[in-house]
Parts: sequence; structure tokens; C-alpha cells
Amino acid sequence: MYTVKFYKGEYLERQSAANTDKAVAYVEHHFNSAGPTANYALVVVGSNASQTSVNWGSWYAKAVAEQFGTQVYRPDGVARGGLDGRGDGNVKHTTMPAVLLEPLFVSNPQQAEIVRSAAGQAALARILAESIRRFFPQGGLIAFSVGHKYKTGRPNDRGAALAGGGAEADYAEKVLQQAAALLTEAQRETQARKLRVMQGDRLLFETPVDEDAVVVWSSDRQLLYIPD
Amino acid sequence: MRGPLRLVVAYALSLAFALQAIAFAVDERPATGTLRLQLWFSNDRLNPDAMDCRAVFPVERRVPMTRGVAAATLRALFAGSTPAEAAAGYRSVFSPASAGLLKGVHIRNGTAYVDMHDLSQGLSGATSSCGAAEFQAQVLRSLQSYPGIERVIYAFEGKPRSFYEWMNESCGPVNDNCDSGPFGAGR
Repeated sequence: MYTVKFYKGEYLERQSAANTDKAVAYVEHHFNSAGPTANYALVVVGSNASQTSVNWGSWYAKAVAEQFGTQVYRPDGVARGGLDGRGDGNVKHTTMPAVLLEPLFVSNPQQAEIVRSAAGQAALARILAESIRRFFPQGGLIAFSVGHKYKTGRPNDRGAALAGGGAEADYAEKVLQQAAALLTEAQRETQARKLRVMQGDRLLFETPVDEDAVVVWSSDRQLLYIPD
Repeated sequence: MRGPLRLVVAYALSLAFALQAIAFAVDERPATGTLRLQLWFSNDRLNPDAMDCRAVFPVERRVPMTRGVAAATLRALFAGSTPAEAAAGYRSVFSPASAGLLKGVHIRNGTAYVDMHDLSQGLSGATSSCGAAEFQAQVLRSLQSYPGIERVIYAFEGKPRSFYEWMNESCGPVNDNCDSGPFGAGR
């Protein structure tokens, strides 16, 4: 079972608060920016990162690259300690596995279009949620941080401009919000009681039923029913 | 001229150039003629996937002679690539919008202290992982066109902490713990 909390303020404050809350995983979402032809997924982990952070980041970067037909930052999609230390301070102060995501280049017009599109945001959210379920199957509190946005020192910072319009941080926030919904709604669905009709391993029919509903099989009527 | 002697002369000339460049950085007296600058930019043709974000490539510019060579170099760099250079793939986070970025520069013991106006809003992408690496590589390599400069410490409005926090970099030994002393009025 997952709960998701968005952390705001300076990056160090966000990490400290997530530590206090005993989050099981920490995600800070950015997008990268360079030239119009830059074309790879990058995940920054702290200089003190655990192997879980490295594996999680690498899995995520490869999944994004496969989804959008791009590359990963060589060799495995992960920059340990960031590029020349940049981004290290955004994740190295957590006591739980932490990643800083830069899945696409918003300076690349094709990738900026993906970031602006509902389908692109949904795909990024799905990959992120799937990565969390895969690496933290036991559930728990997931800490989300929108890169650039909500810093007290620079409240107007929105990160890089997208080629063609828009700001990095606003789209990072949309992706995180969708990922949060996937993580929390999925569990509501799985928690809900369902009536399933199966043929072998194949699902023929599925419908939610009330938690306290009594389901009765009538051999006379050849009917499965819920009495009034 | 025999080999060793040639080396000595070359060393002496480069030392003289270095001393001149350092002197130029602090001497504001008018000068005459033109000055040839070497600026380093990213290039989408020579490094198309930007896998190495620190890869930068030189272009040459001629500007009116000045004794503030380092400042002239940074002013030219901060104005970005020319249309002709851009057509050849040279690219930068700097643009005409950031032409007024430089507040001052001075060099001491191999360190260039670059003080900038806080125009961070006009430097889109400069704080992404790759954009930040490009920013710093372009400045460092352009200043290293002149001998004797080993590293650069940056500040916004005299405050290194303000710059490095914007850059998502911690204050530590690499940036002298964001010591604002070298940028102070009394330096």
C-alpha cells in the first residue's frame, strides 16, 4: 500500500522532511536541457547512493529509453553523484533510496512535444509508478519533489524552457501527480472486493462488489447472485 | 635556434603573454588595435547526442583592443554565438538576452572570480545536468585561452552561494565553500 507526499522548500529541507516522515523512496523530477539533438535518459543518484538507488535509476532510464526510442546516458543511464557534482545535493541527504530523474531533453523539439502531450506524460507516469512498485513492493510513503518549483529562495524558478513553449517544472509536476494517482488509485482498486469469473487462468468477467455483500450460488437457477 | 633554446624562448613568450593577460584583466587604460579572442561553445554537429556535456569547441572573434582581456572574453561569450556560428552548430545557453551578465572578473592565484548579475531567468536550461556542465565548460575553456587560469569561482551579485544554489551545487572545497570574500568591495 502506497501513500505519496509532495515535499516543498529548499532541496535540503525536502530531504530532511522525507527522512523525518520515514519515506521509503524519494523521487525528484526534472527534465534535461542541452541542444536540439540531445537524446538520452539520465538519472542522478547521490555520491553515497545505495545499490538499490543505482538499480532503480538504471531500470527507469532504460524503460524510458525503450518507451520513446532514445538512448540512456552511457553506460547504464545513471550519473553517480551527478555530472561534476551537480544534482548530488538534491538526493544525497536522504536516508532512503533516492533518484533525480531527467528522462527527456526539453531542448529537443521532438522530446519537448512528448513532454507537452497527455500521452507522453501518462507514459512517463506509468513508468515511474511501475519502477516504484518493482523496487519497493512492500509499499510505504513515497516522497515526491518537483525540481525547481516551490523553492523558497527562488520561488519563480521553473527550470528550463521547453522548445516550443512551456516550463520544465510545470510538466515535471504533472507527471508526478499522475504517478501519484497511479500508485494510490491502483491500490484502492486492488483493495476493492471484486467478483471474478475465470476459465482456467483467463478472466472472463470482473465486477466490484460491496465489502459486506453475500454472494450466493443457486444451483437451481444456475445463477450467482447477491440477495437484497 | 636549437631545441632547448627554442623551448626557453617559447616558455618566456607564453609567460609574458600570461602576465600581460593577467595585467589586462585589471588594467582599464585605453588600448588601440584589435584583440583576437577564442570562445568555446557547444556544437550540435560535432557532439550531436550531447553525451559528453563538457565537450566544447572554439571559435575566434576580433574585438577592439582592451586591457581587460578576461572581461572582454566573457562579455563576448555571454552574448552567445553569432548567427553564422549557430548555422555551423555552435550553441550556448548564452544569448543576446544574457549579454549583460558580467558584473566583473578578476584573477588571483590561478582562479578567475566571475561575478555576474542575477539574470538566471534568462539562462534557460543552465541548471539542468547537461546545461550546467555546458555553462561551466564554456566559461572555463574560454578563460583558459590565456595561460595561468586553472579554475573559475562564480557569484551572483557578489554571492557565490546564490550562484551555486541556483546551479544545484553544494558549497564545499571545490568552490571554496562559497566564500564571498574574494568578491567583496575591499578586495
